[in-house]
Amino acid sequence: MTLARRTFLASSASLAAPKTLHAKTEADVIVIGAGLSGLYAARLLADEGAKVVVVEGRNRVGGRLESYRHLEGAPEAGGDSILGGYGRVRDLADQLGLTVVNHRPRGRLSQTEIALGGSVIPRDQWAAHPLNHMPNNAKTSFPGRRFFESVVATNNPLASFEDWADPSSKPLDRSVYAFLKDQGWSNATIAQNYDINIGRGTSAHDCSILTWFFRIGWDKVQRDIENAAFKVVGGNQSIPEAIAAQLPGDVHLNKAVAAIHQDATGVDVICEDGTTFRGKRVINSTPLPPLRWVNFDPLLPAQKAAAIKVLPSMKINKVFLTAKEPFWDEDGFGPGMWTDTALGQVAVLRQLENSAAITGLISRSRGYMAEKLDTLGPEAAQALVISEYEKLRPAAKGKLKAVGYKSWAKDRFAGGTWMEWHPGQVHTFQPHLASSAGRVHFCGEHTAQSNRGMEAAAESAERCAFEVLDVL
Amino acid sequence: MTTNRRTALKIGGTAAAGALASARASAQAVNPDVIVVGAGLSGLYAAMLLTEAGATVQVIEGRERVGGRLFSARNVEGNPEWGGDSILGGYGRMQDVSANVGVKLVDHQARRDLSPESHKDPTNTELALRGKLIPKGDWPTHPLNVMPEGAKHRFPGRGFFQAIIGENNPLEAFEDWLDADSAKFDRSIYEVFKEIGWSDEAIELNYNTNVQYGTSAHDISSLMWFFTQAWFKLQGELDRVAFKAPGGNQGIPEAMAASLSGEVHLGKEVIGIRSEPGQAEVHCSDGSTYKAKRVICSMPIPTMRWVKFDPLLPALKAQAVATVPVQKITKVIMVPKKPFWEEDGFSPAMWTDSDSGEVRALREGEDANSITCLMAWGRGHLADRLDSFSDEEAMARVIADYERIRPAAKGLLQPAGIKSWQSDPFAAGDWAVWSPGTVTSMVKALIDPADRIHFCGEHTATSNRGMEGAMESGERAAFEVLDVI
Repeated sequence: MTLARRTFLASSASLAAPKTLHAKTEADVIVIGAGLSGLYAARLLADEGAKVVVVEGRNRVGGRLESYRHLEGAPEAGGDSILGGYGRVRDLADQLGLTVVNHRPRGRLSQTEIALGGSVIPRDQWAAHPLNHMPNNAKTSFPGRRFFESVVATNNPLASFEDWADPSSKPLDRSVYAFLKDQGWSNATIAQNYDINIGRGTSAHDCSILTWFFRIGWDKVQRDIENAAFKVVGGNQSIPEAIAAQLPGDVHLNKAVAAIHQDATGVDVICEDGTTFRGKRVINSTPLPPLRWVNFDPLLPAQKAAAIKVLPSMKINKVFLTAKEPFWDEDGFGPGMWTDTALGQVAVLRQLENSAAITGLISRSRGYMAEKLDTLGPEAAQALVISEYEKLRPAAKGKLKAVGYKSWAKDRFAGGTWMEWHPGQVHTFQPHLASSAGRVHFCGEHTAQSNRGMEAAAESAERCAFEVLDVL
Repeated sequence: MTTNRRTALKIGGTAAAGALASARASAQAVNPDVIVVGAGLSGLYAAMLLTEAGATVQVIEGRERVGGRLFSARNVEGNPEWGGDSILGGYGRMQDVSANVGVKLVDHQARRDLSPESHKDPTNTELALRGKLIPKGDWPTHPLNVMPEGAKHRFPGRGFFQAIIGENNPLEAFEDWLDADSAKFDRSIYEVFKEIGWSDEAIELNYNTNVQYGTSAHDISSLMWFFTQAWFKLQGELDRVAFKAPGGNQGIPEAMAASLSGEVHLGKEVIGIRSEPGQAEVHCSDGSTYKAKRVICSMPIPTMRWVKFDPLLPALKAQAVATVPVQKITKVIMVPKKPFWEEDGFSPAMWTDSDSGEVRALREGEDANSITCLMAWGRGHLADRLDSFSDEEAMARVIADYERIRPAAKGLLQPAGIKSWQSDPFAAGDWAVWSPGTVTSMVKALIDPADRIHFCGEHTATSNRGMEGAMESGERAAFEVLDVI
């Protein structure tokens, strides 16, 4: 099939070649966005002989793959783990000659502490602690996402995770809160296990449980294939960089798109700096929030336009910390903490070849806590995170330094991390995210059907590249 | 009605004073009867009414200033407003209280009528789409004109769609918006526009560009608009005025705070509110704790999301706090070095679909005729966009966009400041907006007290909006508390 397509494309491309009517960069396909999905789509199209130009708003490629290489071991500000079932991404890393290392065993090397109500609660005191709002049969369980997920897993009505977008699943498209109430959870149990360090959404009220049924079924398949969490040596950003380096066409950086105008023969992609790229087809791989500022002429179809305007994005802020000395040896608690403060959840980074060596700490604030940090601005946000850590752990006083910061919501080329679903939105909007509009096609993790994260980006790129090949 | 309530309050206050005094003597003498969280209009007004009725009140405020969303740009000639701007004809409480605390309001309506963006004469605001100014005469036949049939000559945006909403407003009285019968109108304004035959292009231009409430026609309840439109209309009918406080509207809450017997404690960021039998405790991020019989929480919705309530707020109220959105507004003030508009012959006020958003020309100085500054309003998703840049870069973007549309302005606009209400840690947005379905399900939940905590703030008003909504809610919360202490 691939070979036949390549032949077809080569002939049509040569026919089209002399038609240079405009003094602008022309190509068969203009790909907007040099993240994983856009670049992978460009690679697939170029492999088939299409002339592809990639335009990217940032001054770097990679999108939501962003490795902080100024820090020891290049920890990830964005997409972190390549899971066992990420066939496309693993294959791609292999093709590109990149080395991946399984980091999963490292995650289990240190204990995460529970810190609620202003202090660390020693594990042996947790079960009987007054702030313990776990269900009666789970008083000893660690609160939060893993516990919540175990309850979803045992009550998952989807026969196959891929059924999530099937019309028959519509009755399941309701709030996490409604589902948890059905399980007999109290409001305090829900607040403790869902709303603190929230996995998705901003509260149990505004996230669809259907997306969790999908997610948890999908997670299990990932583990069943291979229980691993790979990272690229040197940083995951190396994947998009290596794809970009191998593309025959150019990747134009610093080209924020202002308008996408279609006519009978092609599409103009007009950038903020006034430059225009023209293609027979356009692939838009950007996340939804930046698309809200793009002028479409003609307008996108109504439901697609509505989806772009209203679908939320997950907010995550990360603060990278280093410790002058291992203060955790002093107070006897693990440096990783699960807190109900703006510090969020603190994980231990072990990024070196010596997998036991601690290279730093990473604090993740999510949902409304991320919003709180955003109101403060980067400097004050980092200072608050350190001060919250020190309040909980006096032994850390004066020993932590913030060495990196990322707010995905404030990144104007992202506007958040992954796309989220409010209750009821799956069946209203899911069919419209991946659909093409005239000569404009769409990819990106939010348009994927059967995967999440990086693999979703790759899946969507493949679908989109084939879609375009069919019509070029 | 205002007068009746005040009289009632005074009588009630006198009667209650004795009982309160004896109650205080038996409790801890140091604890006030009421802690008011937030020194904006609603919190301060509640504190004034309670004090007048004989209760002891301590107001605490997270910022280093009082005033909340009344915040005047005092570094700019004429003190233009970053927040609440005009005290309208029906703002009885605002007008009374201002007089009572010694603030003499000045009517700016005549200046507004001169102002190029005056609603009375919208033809003076210039229209600029896709980076180009469209002269008024060209608009009816312009290729970008997607106004509904019969309205090709109309200026797009708020003035136009509000007139349409007015013609199609099913509420007999605006206060009916919370009646059970009105629930059927609690759906998106997009659906209403589609039903009256508007195209998606017309909705995009008239509603989504420089969006006033929400971020698009999809996420705003038509019921909120029916209420708001009728309420605005009444304001103009009562008395066509637009009062401002000399020196800036912030002077009103400042004078209200000064009129209180005790000092407002500034810099007190609340992180927790606990209700116990007999008392409530308010915990601040600096480690301080306040105790009282009752708490009035006047915090805006988003900032309540960071407060730990113990016990948890009742389920529906917690849901309302977690999910009701607020309007995003980012404003940029630009001071013109020269009247460049005299050179190119167009008004400096513009309504754009680009980074400038909606630009108003303000006359705030001694000379009522002279334009003192331009204020660019970025709303909804445009506010998000401006917020994703640094302050300096955002101002530069707005000015660059303005200059692109108006070459005569090149180099003549001085950035004088920027205010993103979303980025303000004590506001985290502007007023509450009601998405489809939430008027019916969430308004009452936001108002209801929870244990020993009572709630005020414009998001809890039922018969007013803006500053008067804040005052109305402060009054209601004060009465609620007086009934139980």
